[in-house]
This record gives sequence, structure tokens and C-alpha cells, in this order.
Amino acid sequence: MSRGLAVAVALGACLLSAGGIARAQDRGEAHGDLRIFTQPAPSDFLIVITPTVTGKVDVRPWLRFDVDWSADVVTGATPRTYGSPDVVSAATSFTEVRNVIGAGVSGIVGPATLSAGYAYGTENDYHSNLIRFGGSVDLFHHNTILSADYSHSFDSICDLAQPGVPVTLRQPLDSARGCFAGTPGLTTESLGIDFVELAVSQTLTPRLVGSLSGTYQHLSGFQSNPYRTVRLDGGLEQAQESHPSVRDRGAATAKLRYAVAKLAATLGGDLRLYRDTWGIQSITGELSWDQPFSLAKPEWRYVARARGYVQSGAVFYRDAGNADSYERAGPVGSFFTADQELAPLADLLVGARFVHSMAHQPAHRKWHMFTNVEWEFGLDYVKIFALSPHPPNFARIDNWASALVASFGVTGRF
Amino acid sequence: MARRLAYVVLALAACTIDTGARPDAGPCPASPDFFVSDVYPRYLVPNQCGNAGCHDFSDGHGTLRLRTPDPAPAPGQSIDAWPLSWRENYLSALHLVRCDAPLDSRLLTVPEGQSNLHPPGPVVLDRATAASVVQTWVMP
Repeated sequence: MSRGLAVAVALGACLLSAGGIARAQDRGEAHGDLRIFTQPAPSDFLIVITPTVTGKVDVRPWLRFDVDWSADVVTGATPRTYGSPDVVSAATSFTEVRNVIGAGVSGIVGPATLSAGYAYGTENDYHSNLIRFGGSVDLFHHNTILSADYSHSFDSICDLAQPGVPVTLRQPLDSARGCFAGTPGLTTESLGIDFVELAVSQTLTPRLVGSLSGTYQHLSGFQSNPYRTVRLDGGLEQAQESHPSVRDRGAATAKLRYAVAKLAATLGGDLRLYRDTWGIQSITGELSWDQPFSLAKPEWRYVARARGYVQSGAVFYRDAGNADSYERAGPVGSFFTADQELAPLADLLVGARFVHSMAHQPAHRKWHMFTNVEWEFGLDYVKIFALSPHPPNFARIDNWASALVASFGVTGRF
Repeated sequence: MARRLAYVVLALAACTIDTGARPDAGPCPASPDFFVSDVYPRYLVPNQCGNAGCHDFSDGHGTLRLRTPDPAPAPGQSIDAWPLSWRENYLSALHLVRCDAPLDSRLLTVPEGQSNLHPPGPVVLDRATAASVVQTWVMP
């Protein structure tokens, strides 16, 4: 295999798997990381701490098992009611904890890899059960990789029982107290999520690898936040957020990775187009640069990236600062929302990761186990730009930093 | 496959949900004057709903949030001309009543402990008076 082709193959593996499976010469992998996401607005702050642990092991050359656990610890303060900006809404402090555990198995049959898995997620007011299946085919000496993945999630959401009550009179859930315990006055709503992804990765030239993927997601069921309310008709009505029960989402993503051999670096470019049946369209562009600090010490490297994103609003989104706001003009048909993610927005992300990767001889394994250990530290700065006068949680984004994300991780292979 | 992806994207581009008809349900026309004269002083105050840590506007919990009231508005005055504190307190309580079944209003059932959602447990001291006040407020 030529050096250029080897570079391209390595890029392709990176593009598709992103470290998701153990490398061919390894028998397994253990990974742990901690991610801290914060939106530092004083009156409307949010902190999300996400620890993750994953493990993969090849029990046979053709059979692999994986397990994973992650948690979200969310704390913050937020106004639960979306309405006119000249009426200050009361902020409510909250803390939530979500745990997700999962396990999977994959088998290699000739050039194909087949996989299946299950994950269970739980928090006080939300339960989910997810099953997933996938397959990939590695063709032409790794030059072409085709993959297909499918998952279905069966979700349960706690809500106030309000059968037959018109949406403009529906009240929000006050707290998760009593959820999933048969408490009178509470009920369990359901949400089903189907997800399909098809992807192809292709070596285009000895230094250039590209991939194209398409995703489709179908959501059917309760998709509102049961705690959020919207002021309607001059504030005389204040009802639980009302979202449509069906949403279809599609996206197409193209990625390119170009190897700059002289610097042992990789230049990346991603483009993603998105559209859904709630009327949101978005485009995302990202550039990345991955390079060792020094060719003499390739174990130290950095990855810098910049991403731009812009989206339109949902067809039923109305901004509280406009003349046709819900408070002034009422709902759009049956729907009204207090979800910032349904407002027209743009954001800019700049970030960097610093990576140290060290190989160890089998006779001198790190911590008596690992032949390769990789440490990683990352920091991202995000600025969100509102494209309407006063979207929900405006204080949270109208700040010098809309979000800061720090991550720290370690991966060991054995 | 690229062609199939293009079909999916095109299909999504052509489809947007129908927002449907607006529900024919208006707000509950509970008397503003009765809120000032009776609901606030005879129900919300004696049961200490607006205390700090309970449903105080600044540091309270839940949907009901009460501001420290300014001097009461005059009877008959439009709520648009009310002091902000009274207007917001009225609206906050109004959203918790059911016009069709006032005794099933969350303004009564939650603090009476009829569901398991009130962290301090039942706090209503005089249920008969509370029921009478809310019922009269909604159906004078």
C-alpha cells in the first residue's frame, strides 16, 4: 500500500468511526470523559455536567461487545413562561439528573460488520428505551465503506392529566414529584422516535477522503416541554406549550478530509443541510485543522475548528417582541411554543482540542493494561445570535458568551 | 443512494405541518374585583401562598407566583390599568382555575393535597371557605 493510500485509509477510518470502534490491532478500549456545558447568563444560567464511560472488547476476532454509561446533571434557573419582554417572568431554579446505560454487540462477517444494541435512559420525568441495529460493508481495501443504521426509541414523559381540555387551557406540570408512580392527576405521555442513517465513505485521491450521509428521523407523540408555558391573549390565558405531535426531520451531510503530508496535518470541511416538517431549515459549515505541535513529537497535537450555523424558525413560532406575538395575536392554529430552538437563530463556534497520544510496548503496558493511552482536553466558545427580537430564554444567549463547553477525556486501548 | 437522499430532502422541503384551527376556548372570566376583595385576602394570604420559598415571585416554586402587592386597585378599574403586582397576581391565580368545574381547580386541589404535587403537603386551613371563595369567584 502506498504511503498516500495509507494516509487516505487512516483518514477514512477517522472520518467514519471517530474512534467508535477498537482499532484492528487492539482487543479493546476503555474511555471516560467529562463535559461541562455552561450558559453563564446571570439571571438565566444553565450548567450541564456530563460524565461518560464506555468500554469495548473483542472476545473473538469477529465478535465485539460494548457497554456505555452517561449522565447529565443539569442545574440552572429559567423563566418557565414565555411572553412579552416588558413583563419580567419569575425564574425557577431546577436541578435534573439523567442516566443512560447501554450495551451492544457487533459481529464481523467477511467485509461486513453487523451490530445491535439497547440503551435505557431515566430521569424523574422521562424514561426511554432505545434499540438500535446497524451494518457496514468495507470494500475495495477500505477505500469504500457503506453503512446503514436504524434505531427506535420508546419514550415516556410525565405530564399533568388533562383529558379533553383545549390546548389553550392546558396547564403545565409543576414538578416531577409523583411522576411514574400512579399519582392521581398525573399521566404518562408517549413518544416514538425512528431514526435512519445511510452513509458512504470514499477514498477520492491518495490524500483526500470524503463521506456523504443522509439521516431521517420520524417523531410521533408528545413533543412539548410539560413545564413550559406561553402567555396568550394579553396574558389572560397562560397555557402549557403546545407542539405538533408529528415531526419528520431530514439532513444531508458531506465531509471532506485532506491530508497535508508535509505537516502531518489534516484539513477538514463539513457541510450539513437540514429541513423538517415544522418548517425549520438550517445550514451548518465547519472547518477543522488537526496538526501535531511538532513533527519531532507527533504524540502532542491540536485540533482547531470553527463552525457557523443558521436556521429559520418553525412555522408556528411567534416572537414575543413582534406585533403578531402569541400574547397579542394568540396561537398559530393549535400551536404555540416557548422553545428557543424553534426560533430563527444563528451561532458561531470556535474551539480547540489538545491531544496527547502515547503508545506503550506490550511488555510495558500503561497501568499494566493499555498499549495506547490518549488524553484530550477541549474548550469551545459559542455565541448565539437571535434573528428575532426576543426569543425564549433571550437572556441566556444575549451575553458575551452564549455558551462555553469544556471537555476532558482519556482513552486507553489494550 | 444519493438520489434517494435527494428524494427525502425534496419530500421534506415540500411538506410542512398543517397548524390546524385555533381552539374555540376563551379565558375564564373570573371577576377581577372579587379577586382583589376576596380571593387574595381571604384565600391566598391566610394560607401563606406568597411566602418566601413557597410561591413568592422572586424565589418561589411552581406555576403560581405572587408579587408583593401594591395598594389595591379601585373596584371597576380595568385590569390593564391595575398596578403590575395585582395584575400579575390575578393572572397567575386565574390560570389555575377551571371555569367549568371550579372545585376541581388546581388552585384548590394542589394545596389541599388532593394530588401528590405540593411539596409541603396540604396547607389549606379552612377548606370550606376556600371552596366557597373560589366557586364564587368563578361563578358569582
